[in-house]
Amino acid sequence: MDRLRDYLKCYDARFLAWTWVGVAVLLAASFAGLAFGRGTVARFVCAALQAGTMGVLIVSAVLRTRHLDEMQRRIQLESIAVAFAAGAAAISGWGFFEHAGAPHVDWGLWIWPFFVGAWLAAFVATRRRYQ
Amino acid sequence: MRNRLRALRAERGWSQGDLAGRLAVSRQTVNAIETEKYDPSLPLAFKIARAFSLEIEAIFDDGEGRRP
Repeated sequence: MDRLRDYLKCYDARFLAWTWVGVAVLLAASFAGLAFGRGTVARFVCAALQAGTMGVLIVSAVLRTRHLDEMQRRIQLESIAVAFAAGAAAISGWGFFEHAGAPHVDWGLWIWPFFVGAWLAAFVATRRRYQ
Repeated sequence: MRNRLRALRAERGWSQGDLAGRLAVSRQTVNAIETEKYDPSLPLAFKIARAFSLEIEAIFDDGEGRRP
């Protein structure tokens, strides 16, 4: 119970939960946008919602990082580095598969859930090293 | 880097949370320093030394000090 309380006190769980909410909004807006024709106002509203959500995610990540102590910053830095490398590897790796005939993946949309998932996995693994 | 943080904290009857509050860091960071899985930065080492009213060398030992 103490561990859970400490975990929540560091805002990790809360921050990650809100990040997933952001990802859900991104996906929902993307799929909702498909219901409208290109060039319509509704489609632009969905696109603006996606762009705005990405902006909020970036700002909230920066603001959160500023409140971390030095060890937590190191953990986050290592986690983000791993997630970045994993994201780059996934995009380029899947590109090779696409050339071989695999279905096209819209990475403009799917990189965000992938990146957050990779970030979370890397965070859990990195944090364990310091426990 | 070896340190006496756990012993010093116990001498004063402080919990990890108490020390974390004094140092303005998380309890996990205090625990990681105590278990020698994380070496604090110089500013944090100074903070720790001030919290215990000791010199940094009296808390941390990098194993180099006694070499001829």
